[in-house]
Amino acid sequence: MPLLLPLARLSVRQSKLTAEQLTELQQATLFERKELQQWYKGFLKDCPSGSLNKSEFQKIYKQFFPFGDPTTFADYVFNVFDADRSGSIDFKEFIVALSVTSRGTLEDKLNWAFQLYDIDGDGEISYDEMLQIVEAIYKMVGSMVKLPEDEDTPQKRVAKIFRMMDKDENGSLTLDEFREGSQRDATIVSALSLYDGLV
Amino acid sequence: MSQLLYRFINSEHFSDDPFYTVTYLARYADHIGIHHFLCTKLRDFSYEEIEFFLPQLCHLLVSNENMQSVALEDFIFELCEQSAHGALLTFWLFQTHLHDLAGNPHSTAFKVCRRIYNRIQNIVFGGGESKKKERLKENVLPVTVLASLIAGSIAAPLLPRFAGPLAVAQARKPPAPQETISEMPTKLARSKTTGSTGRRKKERPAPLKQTASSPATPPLTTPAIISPLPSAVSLASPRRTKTEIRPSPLARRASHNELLSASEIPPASPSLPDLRVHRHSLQPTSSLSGPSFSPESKRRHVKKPSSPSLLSRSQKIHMLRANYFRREDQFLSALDRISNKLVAVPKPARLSALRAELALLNNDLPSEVDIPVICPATVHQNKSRTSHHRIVRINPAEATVLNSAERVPYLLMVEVLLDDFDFDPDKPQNQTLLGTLMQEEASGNRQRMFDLSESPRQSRRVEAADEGPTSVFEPSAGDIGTSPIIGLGEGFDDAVPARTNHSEPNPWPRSSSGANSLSTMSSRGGTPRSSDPSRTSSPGPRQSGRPNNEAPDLSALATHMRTAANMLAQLEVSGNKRPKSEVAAIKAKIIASMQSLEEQSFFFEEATPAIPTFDSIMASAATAPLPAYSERVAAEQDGVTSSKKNINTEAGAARMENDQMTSGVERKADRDDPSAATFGEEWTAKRERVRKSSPYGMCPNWELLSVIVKTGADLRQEAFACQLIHVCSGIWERAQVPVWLKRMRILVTGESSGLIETITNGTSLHSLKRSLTIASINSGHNPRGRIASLKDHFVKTFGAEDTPTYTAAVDAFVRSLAAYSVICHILQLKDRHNGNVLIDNQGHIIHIDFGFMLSNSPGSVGFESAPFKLTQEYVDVMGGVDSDAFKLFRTLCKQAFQALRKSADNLVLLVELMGKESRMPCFSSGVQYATAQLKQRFVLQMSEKEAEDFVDGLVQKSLGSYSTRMYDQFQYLSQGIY
Repeated sequence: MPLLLPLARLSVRQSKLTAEQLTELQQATLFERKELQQWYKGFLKDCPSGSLNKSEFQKIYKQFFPFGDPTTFADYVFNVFDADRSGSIDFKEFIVALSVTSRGTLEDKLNWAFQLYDIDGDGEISYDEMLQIVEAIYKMVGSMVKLPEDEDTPQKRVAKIFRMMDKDENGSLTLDEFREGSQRDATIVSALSLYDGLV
Repeated sequence: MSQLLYRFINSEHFSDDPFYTVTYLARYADHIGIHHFLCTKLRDFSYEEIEFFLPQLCHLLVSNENMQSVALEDFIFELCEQSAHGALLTFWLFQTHLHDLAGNPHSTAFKVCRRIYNRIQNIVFGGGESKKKERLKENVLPVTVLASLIAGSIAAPLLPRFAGPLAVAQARKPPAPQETISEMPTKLARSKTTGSTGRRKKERPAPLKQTASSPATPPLTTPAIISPLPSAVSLASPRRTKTEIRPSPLARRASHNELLSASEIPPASPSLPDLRVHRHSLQPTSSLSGPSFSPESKRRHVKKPSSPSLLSRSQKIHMLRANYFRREDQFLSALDRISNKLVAVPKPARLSALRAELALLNNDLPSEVDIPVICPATVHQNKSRTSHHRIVRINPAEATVLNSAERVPYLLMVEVLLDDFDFDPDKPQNQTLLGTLMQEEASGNRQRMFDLSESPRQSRRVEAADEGPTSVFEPSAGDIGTSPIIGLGEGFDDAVPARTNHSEPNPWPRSSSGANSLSTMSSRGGTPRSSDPSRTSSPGPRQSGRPNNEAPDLSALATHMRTAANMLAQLEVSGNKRPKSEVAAIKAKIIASMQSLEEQSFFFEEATPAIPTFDSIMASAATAPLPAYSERVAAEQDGVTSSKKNINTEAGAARMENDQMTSGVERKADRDDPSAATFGEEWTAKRERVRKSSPYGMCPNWELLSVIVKTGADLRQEAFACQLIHVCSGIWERAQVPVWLKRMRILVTGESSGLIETITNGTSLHSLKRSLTIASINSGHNPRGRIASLKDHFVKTFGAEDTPTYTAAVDAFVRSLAAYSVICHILQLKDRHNGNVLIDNQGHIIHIDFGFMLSNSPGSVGFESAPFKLTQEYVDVMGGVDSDAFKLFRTLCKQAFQALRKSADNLVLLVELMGKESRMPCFSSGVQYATAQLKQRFVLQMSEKEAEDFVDGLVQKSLGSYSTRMYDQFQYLSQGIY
């Protein structure tokens, strides 16, 4: 997985990526050098300090979800982005996430998303872990979305997910179960291609 | 707070009226999510409801530099795609903003404004490409959200569907403009200042046009007349010369490229305008060596498809819309130009000159033109279908020049056919039009419609001026001087538009295609239709059987007339080289011939014997050259009032004259007894008369509009005041407060141009009183020259006191007076002299002219210090302070005030919103001061009971206010306003 590649640290506030860094990022992502340079420019514009910390991250979500409470979800997502658990998201971490979610294969995306749900990092998603994420999302969205009756509470939704994915019915999902189950669900598949072709 | 806000926005309150949504957009200008949500709410409203708030929505976009959300911008673009009127209005609004911001081209506001302006042009002239596939920009924050939505897909697949569009829209946000690339606007600004020396208000800001004119986004409103000769001076005003010759190669090139089909237009990207293109496109302006195509545009030019069948449906729709857009703009520019030309013409000749210009304008009617706002299109249920009302004719004989200090506003009677055109490419009418447009496109000969330039005749004009005026009419005098005019009067009602084929060589080549014969009536069903379908086909068989050459050649006449006007203008400028007496003699001669020409030409249509109009009386009486109408009236009336020599009556007389023209008062009747004709020609009667004289009158969907063209005045504050008044009216309607207000419609087409809907059934209090007074003096009943009162008018018009008609009129008066009283206080409407207060034919009072409100007032402080105008004569009409009518007045004032108090916050917000970065004089002492004062006037700290007492206090203070009396007295003595 590209995420685990050890990347050379980017010094804070350097205005352009060096050739060496470009090569490295090119290998870690699906972006061209020119694109990387452009995104780096954009990153510095939006994050002048050169990185995003947790509270800045939460602020973004509050802007986008003004009628709910997105802090919990933002925190979980932050941890996925922050691959090295440094407490802040630097350009490398950002661009890798962007690459996977916008240009990656379905498989890539599911591998990446798995980390969100596997909160303790033990390689499996427990019922409770899934519940925490679903609850966080429901809390973030508030009453903005009209949900179908069979998933209008986090519990109902998690039960539905496990009915669909937990093949061995052991109350937790492995990466394989997670990937296969998701690919069988058309609504999930289409949701995963949200911004394909736009980046 | 968030849940509460969410529920509030979802409440009925918000779905009643976009007003709340608009004010909340301002309140939460830097909240992305809330903005998006509010904009989805906006989509639930009808087009008309949104159109009303377009000035606010556009102002919000420009005045909030920190606005992070793109929701509103996207909403506006969507609106422009859906509605042609929406696109036009937005376009004009941004043009005025660009004008305001042009002094500071480095500002973010200017750049935002320019980007949106360009984008709207692209929407209108582009191929309608969808935004769906547009790529994201390097916006890290929304992209982060997008990535997390992908992660959350598994837990809640609905999440991306709900939040995705918002994040995608934000991720497409174009990057903020950067300083390094903004040298170009500086140059433009410089060129602007040099171009506009000597005259502050030009019709349209020159630099902006150029800014907007990359090859893909042609300048829409280039005021320049596209002329082949660089030296071609277009008509009257010599001061305009500079602006008009300016960008001809550029303009011409643009006109070639205007209608590129979809495939040829680069994707409508909201990104930074490509400045390389701009710089490039500016270059040709420095050389006047004819059109120079960039290689790029040449390539495009070649690729153009030449048959409608090669276009997709949406391309066809866009082509039709672009055609409408262009014609509309050309039409309104022509109206502007007429006004500007008239300024240079001496007063006595203005009416003739106006009618001449309008006769030429009529050559291009009917066309795909209407008047947004004042003549709103019919929007059908699924927002996408709209029918426009086609302007078919503007009868020159019905047009009049209004009196004004500097500029020359004029009144037009516009004949329209309701719901007569749309952009449905399947309609035969539109298929024909498309064919014509494609042909023009292929041949590179795009018609410029409503082109009142006369550059091709320039050399002739100069010669003529040198020879002296007599020679002007000689070559063609035979055409006009001969007399078949009377005979023509009869056949003319046979529904044949005046503009038949010209049998003589066309004196003013319209375009190389020579297609100025325009339409005869369409043979389809005998309904006059669009000019275009028939333009290329041969004229159909003439239904009346009347040979062509008998048709009066109005156009030729008009041309002569305007040549004369030209010469007059020329004389004004160069006159000092000749002896004064000689100039005066020449002038008199020209004016006399113009007037006699006009009488012979424009009125034969009117010669329906049954109704002798004032104009036709004048026309038939005109055997010798007469002084102009305005002069005669003024002269006579000065004689009448000569007993009061110390009073300067000129302004008052001029005002009354305007009233006569706009409301029809006194027009058909004997001018020696004006009182006999108060409300002489009612609108309905006038409408019928015009209908009878119109070749289109028999169409069931025929309608008549009365509008005033006002060029040289910034109508934005006027429009804003009307809007605020309308908002108050809406508040009262919902609160069921039975007061009455007039909704006035104003179309702002630029920072110094616009159209105003005429109040056709009302006359100013000043004119009413003045005419009554003059009449009573004339009849000998009023030897001491007592000034007539409002009550005199009520009794005279509505019958004796206690009659039901009188009572009804007083009731109407009270309900309107209460409404306007509260509004005058809240908005601090000032300059409330009797020329600005109208009484309509039901007794309603109507306030007009909102040049002074909120924080500015005429003259020194202390004038008009009363809360509102409540004169003794108003009280007398109501029957005294103890009458039931007066009690009703008090009650209504209280109810109206209470209702407004409940919406005070939003009214204040609305004012604050428009005040930000505003150039309107009502904010001259600062928006904060204006809004703080406004807020105070709602006395929100008071209880309901206290507020009622407060209103009683206001009434008391206003009642017989010394300052109100003083102001009226001042107006009477200084301006002759009664």
